[in-house]
Amino acid sequence: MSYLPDLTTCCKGVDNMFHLIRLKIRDFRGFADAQELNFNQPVVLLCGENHRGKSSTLNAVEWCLFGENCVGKKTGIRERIGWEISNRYVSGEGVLVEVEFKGPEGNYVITRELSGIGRRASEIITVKLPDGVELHGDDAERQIYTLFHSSFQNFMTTVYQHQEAIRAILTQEPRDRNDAIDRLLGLSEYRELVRGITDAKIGNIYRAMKSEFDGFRQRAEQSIRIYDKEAREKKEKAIAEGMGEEDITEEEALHRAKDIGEAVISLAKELGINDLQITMPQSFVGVAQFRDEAKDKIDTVWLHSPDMVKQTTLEKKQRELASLVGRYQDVKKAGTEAQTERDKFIQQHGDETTLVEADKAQQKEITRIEEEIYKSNARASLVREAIQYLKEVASDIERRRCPLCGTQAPQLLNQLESEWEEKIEVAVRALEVQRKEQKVKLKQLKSFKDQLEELEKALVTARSSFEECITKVAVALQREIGEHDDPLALLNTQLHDIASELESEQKAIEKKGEKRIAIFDQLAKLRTIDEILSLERKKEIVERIWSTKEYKELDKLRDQASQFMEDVQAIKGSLAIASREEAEAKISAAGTSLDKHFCRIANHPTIGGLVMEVTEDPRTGLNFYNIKSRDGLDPTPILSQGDLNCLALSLFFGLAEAAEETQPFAFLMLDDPSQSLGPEMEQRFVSVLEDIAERRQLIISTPYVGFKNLLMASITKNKDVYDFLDWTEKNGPQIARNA
Amino acid sequence: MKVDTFQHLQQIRAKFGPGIFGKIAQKLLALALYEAGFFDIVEREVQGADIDATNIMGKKFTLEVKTTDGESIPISRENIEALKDRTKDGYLPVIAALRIQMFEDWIFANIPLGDLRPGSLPLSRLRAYRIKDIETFVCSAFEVVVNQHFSSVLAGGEYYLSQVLAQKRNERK
Repeated sequence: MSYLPDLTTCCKGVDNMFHLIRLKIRDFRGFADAQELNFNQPVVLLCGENHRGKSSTLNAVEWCLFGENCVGKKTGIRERIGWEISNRYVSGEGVLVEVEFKGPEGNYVITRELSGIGRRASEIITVKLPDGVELHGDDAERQIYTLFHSSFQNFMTTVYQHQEAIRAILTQEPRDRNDAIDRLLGLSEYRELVRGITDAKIGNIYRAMKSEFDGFRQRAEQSIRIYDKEAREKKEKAIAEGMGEEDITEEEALHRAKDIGEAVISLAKELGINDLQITMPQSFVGVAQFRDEAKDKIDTVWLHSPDMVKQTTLEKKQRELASLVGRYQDVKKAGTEAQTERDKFIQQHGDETTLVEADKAQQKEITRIEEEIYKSNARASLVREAIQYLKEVASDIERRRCPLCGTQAPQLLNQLESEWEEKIEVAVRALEVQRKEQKVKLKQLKSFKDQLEELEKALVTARSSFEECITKVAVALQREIGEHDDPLALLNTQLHDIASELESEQKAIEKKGEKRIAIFDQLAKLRTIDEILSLERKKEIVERIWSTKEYKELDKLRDQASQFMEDVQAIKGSLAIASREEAEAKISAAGTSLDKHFCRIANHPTIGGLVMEVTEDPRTGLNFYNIKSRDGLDPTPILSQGDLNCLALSLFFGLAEAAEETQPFAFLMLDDPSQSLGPEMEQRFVSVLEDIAERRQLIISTPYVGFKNLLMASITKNKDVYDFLDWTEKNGPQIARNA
Repeated sequence: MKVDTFQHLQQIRAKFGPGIFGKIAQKLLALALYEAGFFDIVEREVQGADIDATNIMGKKFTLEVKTTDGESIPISRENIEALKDRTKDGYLPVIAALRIQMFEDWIFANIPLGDLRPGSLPLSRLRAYRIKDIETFVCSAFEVVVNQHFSSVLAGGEYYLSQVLAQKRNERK
């Protein structure tokens, strides 16, 4: 029996609403081959273990209606980030979800298909109207919006209670729970926008830009300060040295340059150079170059003037003669010393002839001694042989008697031998001593000869140097130096003459030099003016940055950046205010219902009821939810996980009831709503569901058999049960319908 | 503001201290407004907005004058109230702020009073609400006024400027 014909009796006030009557799913998330579910009863239960496809069934309805809008970070559901639409285990015909609604004017079939993955994925959306007309693409999307006037956010808060939303409330830190409640209220988009603006940290970018600008300005300011300080110090110094303030102008600098130029030409003429040319500066810019040129010209003119040339020549001659004086004195002294040394030596040791004769005599004496030694040695050899002979040929008796007198002489031969040896040895030793002494004398003589030879050589060298020096003196003085001339005196006379000449020359030069120094003084002043004016000019150039077109453009950009910052802050503030106002409106609309449902489901022994308020989080500017008990106390520290689930469910029911007047769907989808509820809470929750089933079709998914049984036993409306028995990669969920 | 103007202001501040300097700057600004062609100028030493002035187009401005070394100015509840008060008489509320820095000029900002909170107000926020056409005239006039009266201000301080302003008012009567 169809559920729909009985709508007027089982679900009050739903005549003009859209009823979910059929769902076809293929290749969507855990689904593989196409499966179809019918929703013909006031209560439809999707039961089965986890990972069997229950949530995917509910998600399929959502995806069919809202497509990409229910995927990704923008949904505010963490699980939807990177959410896969296509079944990753099959490569079938592509994703297809088809939902059929029964509306006031007939049946509407919405089909959303997806082929390909990633960037290549393409969606096809089709809406078949009751009159059989089919709409596609944007027309179809527009038609969906026209029919339901519902955004994904509205759907999520008033039609489809996500298990993730409840889980978020249960698991978040109290501070982050605001985020979860925003999500329940469908305000995540505001929160994401505000957070996005905050995370963009444009304030930091603005500060970095400002810091760059300030750094640039600081450098420019520093340059200006340095130029200004240097210019001021130089000016003060110049004024202290007698320059007038009025002298430090570009006109004055040009005027002064002209005077200097004329003075340089005049000096050149005085120095005998009549053709000197100098380029006068035409503007202040040319002054620096003029200064360099004028200085070079003065130096060149000065060096090449006849006076200076003559002075240089005389000075050179003076240096040359002075050097010769020294040289002459040195070689003369060296010659005298060599002569004296040689004479003294001859006096002590004789001249060369004497030494040669002494050498010959010494040689002769040595020869004589050597002959004496030879003779002694020859005699000794003879006697040694005779004794040896006697020792060999005489008998023992004969050896003990004297061969001459026949007396007993037991050691005669031995005695004779030693006596003879001693005698010879003494004589030879004496001769050898003599020979040695004579050889020493001979060596000494030879040394004397060598020394004399060296002294002679030194004397020759000294004489040669002297002659050479005399020649140089002659050349320098340009005259012959005779035997009777005193070169030293000649040199000194000449030096005296040069000194006199130089003295008179110096006086002439000094007079002209005063003019040269005066020009240099003027050049130094011109340089000071030039430096001061250049520093002031540099300062002006940097200062001019602030009146350039580019700077004005930069200033404008800074203003625009500030304007942008203000706008962003205003947008952020407006978003926060809009979010708060929407939250206030929703909470206000759902308030009574929220309190009623919470009291009924939680039945908390100390919390009589709940009031929810929204304020601004001063830290983030986002919504901050205050949950108070009716007595004004903060109940959150004593709320259990079950209580928090009751709070989330109450909020959802509250919002759903508040939206009943405006939203067009005649059903509520609850995904695993009994998490963390104890048996008694479950019981009370089911009784609330029983009431809601009076007004809405309920599609409830649960993994808990106990909760399923409780629903089956306690809900008095007709029920359809889909058991999700098994799931395989290839076939997807195995679903069995148990009416 | 040019280097010379900046240096003059620095010298004035060094002599009179930041408190009196603020009042001197306010009077110099009032003179600059005369110089820039404004009329009906009222410069207040106590209570109310610091300066009221009307431009040649007849547009009325009320100014809260602030000088600073840093990057923000202090705004008090009284300042905001004073500006609000003048708006009742058709004056456009303006915050005139000068950072005493080389190359900084007066910022004339018509920041919405509803966005103002007592406390420190960054100059960067003011930039978003600049009234450039007024700034152009007044800033160059301010340079002229500072350089013209520098020596006298240094000698006679606030009293000298009060006399000059009184004289200006009498001339306009």
